[in-house]
Amino acid sequence: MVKRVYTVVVGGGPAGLAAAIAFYDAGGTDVVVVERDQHLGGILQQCIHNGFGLQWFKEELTGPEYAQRFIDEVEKRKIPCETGTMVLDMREREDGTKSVYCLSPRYGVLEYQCRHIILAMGCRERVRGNIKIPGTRPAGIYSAGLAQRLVNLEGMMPGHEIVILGSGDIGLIMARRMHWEGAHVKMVCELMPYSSGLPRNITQCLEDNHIPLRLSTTVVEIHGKDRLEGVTIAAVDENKKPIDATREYVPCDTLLLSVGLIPENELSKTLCIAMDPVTGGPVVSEYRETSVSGVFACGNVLHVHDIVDFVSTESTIAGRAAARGGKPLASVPIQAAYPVRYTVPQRCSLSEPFTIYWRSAYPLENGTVVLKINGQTVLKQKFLRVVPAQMQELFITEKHLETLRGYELSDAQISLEVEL
Amino acid sequence: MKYDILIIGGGVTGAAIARALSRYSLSVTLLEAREDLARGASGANSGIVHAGYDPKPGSLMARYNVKGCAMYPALCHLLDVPYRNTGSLMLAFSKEQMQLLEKLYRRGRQNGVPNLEILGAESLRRKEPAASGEALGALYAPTAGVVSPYEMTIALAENAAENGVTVRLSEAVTAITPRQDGFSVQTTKGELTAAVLINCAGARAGQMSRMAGAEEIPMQLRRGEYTLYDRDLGHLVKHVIFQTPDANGKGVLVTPTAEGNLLLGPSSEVLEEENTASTQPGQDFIYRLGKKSCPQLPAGGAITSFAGIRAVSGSDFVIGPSKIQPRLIQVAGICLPGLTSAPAIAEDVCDMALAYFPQAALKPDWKAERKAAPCVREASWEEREALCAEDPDYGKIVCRCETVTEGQIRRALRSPVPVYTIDGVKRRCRAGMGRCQGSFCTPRVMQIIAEEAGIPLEAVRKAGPGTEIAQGALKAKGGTAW
Ligand SMILES: Cc1cc2nc3c(=O)[nH]c(=O)nc-3n(C[C@H](O)[C@H](O)[C@H](O)COP(=O)(O)OP(=O)(O)OC[C@H]3O[C@@H](n4cnc5c(N)ncnc54)[C@H](O)[C@@H]3O)c2cc1C
Ligand SMILES: Cc1cc2nc3c(=O)[nH]c(=O)nc-3n(C[C@H](O)[C@H](O)[C@H](O)COP(=O)(O)OP(=O)(O)OC[C@H]3O[C@@H](n4cnc5c(N)ncnc54)[C@H](O)[C@@H]3O)c2cc1C
Repeated sequence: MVKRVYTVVVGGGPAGLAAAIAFYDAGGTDVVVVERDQHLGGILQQCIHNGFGLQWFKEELTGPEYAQRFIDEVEKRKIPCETGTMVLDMREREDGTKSVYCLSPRYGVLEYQCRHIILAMGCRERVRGNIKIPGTRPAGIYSAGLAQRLVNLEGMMPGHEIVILGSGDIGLIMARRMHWEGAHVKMVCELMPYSSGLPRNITQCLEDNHIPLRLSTTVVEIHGKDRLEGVTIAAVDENKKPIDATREYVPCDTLLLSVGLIPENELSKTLCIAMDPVTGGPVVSEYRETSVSGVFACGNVLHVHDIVDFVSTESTIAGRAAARGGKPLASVPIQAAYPVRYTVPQRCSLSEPFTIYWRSAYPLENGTVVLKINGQTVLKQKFLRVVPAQMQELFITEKHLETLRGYELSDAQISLEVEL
Repeated sequence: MKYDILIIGGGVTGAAIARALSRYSLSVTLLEAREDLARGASGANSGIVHAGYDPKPGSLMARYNVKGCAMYPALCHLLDVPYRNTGSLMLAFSKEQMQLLEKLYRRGRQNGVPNLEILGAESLRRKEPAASGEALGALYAPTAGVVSPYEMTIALAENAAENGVTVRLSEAVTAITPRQDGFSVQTTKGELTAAVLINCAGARAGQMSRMAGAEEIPMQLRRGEYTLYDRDLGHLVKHVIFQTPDANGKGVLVTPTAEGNLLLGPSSEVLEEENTASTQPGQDFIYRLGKKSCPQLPAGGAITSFAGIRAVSGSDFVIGPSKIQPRLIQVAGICLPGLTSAPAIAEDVCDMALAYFPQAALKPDWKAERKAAPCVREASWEEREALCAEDPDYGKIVCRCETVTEGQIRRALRSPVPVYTIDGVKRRCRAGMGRCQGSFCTPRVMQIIAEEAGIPLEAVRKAGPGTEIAQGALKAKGGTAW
């Protein structure tokens, strides 16, 4: 079946929903949200803990509550949502129109012919194979997200004696969740000398429950034939190489991996969208438009967010821009100078005030973040402490824009640097 | 129960023999100790259909390899098994290695391998741009290919089952008593008798032979480790790329798999007992050597690692009726190139067994074909449309990474040899085999298995006993303190 719409939103998680709402509110009509799952809300549906929405709604909500507010808004606007429908392929034609090909039990093969696409497919977790932990391959090794789903949505215990590798937020949240369910969470191991989770999660999830956090430590071997029987852990040196003398056997029946998230961009590649190797997501302008005109990206598919409120902000930008018809990809690149790990957006047109989001490569203290154009400083902002887990914001106001626009933009180079 | 023929072992050898025997009016049973087929060497190997220039001329290996290789394309077509005729390249990095290629070339000709060719550096580069610029040349074998080894094994067994062979899983042979007209066999589930016993027990073939009071078959176990990369990297190389064996060992291979991933391995390490763990030194070794053949091999992009055990007995396969117990047919020491050879071995072993059953006749209704669940990922949009029209479950994607639908999973669970485990589903339709390794689809696959098998969700296992995914329900279902 072929349908014509103006804009297709791929993914009905918080990003897709916020983008669809913003698109509608900015006067856009004829938008459809395509969601693979049976339900809207994305990964938030399994995040039943609270702490969502402090920025966006100024109140503390659980994941499903946060998602529901957006679902309600979508329903209020009667924005059509095709659930249980997965986008498998996308094509762009010479005239700039696009086709989005989906598979659904209701329609079979469904093709949307459209002008704009908003990518909001979210991310997936890194798994054991990605980090190459040697040893046997027994049952009892779960990604933290899978364990979260088993516990929160299916009501099942993944195991009882638990080691968690990786101190990302999902790992921390799951440490507390398993502890509350009566499991013995023996430790959370983290390869880096600092946690990759939010400070509030370290306190609330680990410290409050007396769960030890072992920094600069990793799992070097997995034991057990059928079910996991134990893991060998070891401290790592400054090059992240395990130190043999520190090897230690820890009996356990469950290993949860919380070792990073990867934006899910296999679909984006069908349109040959330019990707940022650091974020794993598309390169975008301040309007979240990708290198393919009329294709926008927001949420975890663009870069991994630590809090969903930022996802909503970002998706609103994308939805609004799509409603305005999109802008051609802005031409001035923004260079992230190490230890600035990346920026979003990576390019900008300097037509309106906007925010540069950035992350550091490692924890930084008492420094200044500096925005330069062709080596000339435009903006400086001091900070006390910046950690990789927390996304940072830098506001580019009309005043800064005036300075920036004073340069010949066609060969200008903007960079974001840190001075310590 | 009384059978004409009992096959011990559900690897590719046992399954191929079962299929060959299923043509005849005989009662045949295949026993496999594990909960699924292809859990031994047949499930963890390189998946290469070798051309056959490697084995010594005149050996069983040479004969069965070349014949088996020629059988593969048509057989995989009949059985609906992923197979690609990629051709192979063996790279040489020195003058000595180039000379060795000459030797292998001549050996190949002697073995009857068709169309072998020695390529110089220039033509190698043209054929395989990803091969190392340091290679001086390569031996090109156009008949080589890649196959999914576990799907091959499963397909052979399913086809045998459809044609009347009884396939019994999770049942191990524990004792064998020779009798005048055959054997009485004790298993973990009971006792049965058979006029002829076929020993395809892989790493345990020596043990089976001993149990039956037949000759000693010395066995050496060697572990081979692999790294499997994302589908994204499946196009890095177009051919199977070997390294020329030398004093330092056989080298490792880099190859696209039949299903489009990139595979790197194997290492080779002698073991005292079966152990399929992967190791850091093993993984480092294959990466280092793989990089030599293919410098573009990235450090990232791996999605899993695994290891298989080669069961080696001397320098050749051990195939034929036992000298001491002639009603026991040995198919032992089936190491490399056993996967390639299996279909050819099966034909001969079938003839050996038939010698005991002069009354056996060909079944008029024997079905040579077997259909796998349709592959939605590979299907065209028209085919997908047709599948959904037939059954809307083919429109419900369960595994996002490999585009596997509920229809495929249900179909696999309703096959002639159903295996109600997460890994069983994975091997049959690839749900959970992709880049997220089941992180997203496991709960849904569990639900489908529970429904199809009529078991509670908590009882769903990854593989054999003791591998339940869930360890019971939450302590206070519905009312916890979060
Ligand atoms: C396991 C896990 C746990 C998390 N826990 C927390 C937490 O505790 N706190 C927190 O603040 N953040 C958490 N996050 C991050 C949180 O997910 C994000 O902030 C937010 O959900 C991202 O929204 P999104 O819409 O970009 O992605 P998602 O919520 O992942 O939504 C993407 C949606 O797109 C759909 N989709 C993808 N591809 C297709 C396709 N081809 N066709 C159709 N539909 C498609 C998916 O089914 C999904 O519903 C977690 C993330 C993960 C992966
Ligand atoms: C690392 C490696 C790489 C290889 N690469 C290739 C290649 O690229 N190309 C190629 O052609 N060949 C290759 N081979 C060889 C090939 O994999 C083997 O020759 C082939 O799989 C052997 O099959 P099999 O059925 O004889 O043994 P197996 O697959 O080991 O099957 C034996 C079966 O017997 C069962 N069993 C054991 N004891 C009992 C019992 N008591 N009761 C019931 N059942 C029992 C086991 O559970 C097992 O399933 C490779 C092998 C390895 C290990």
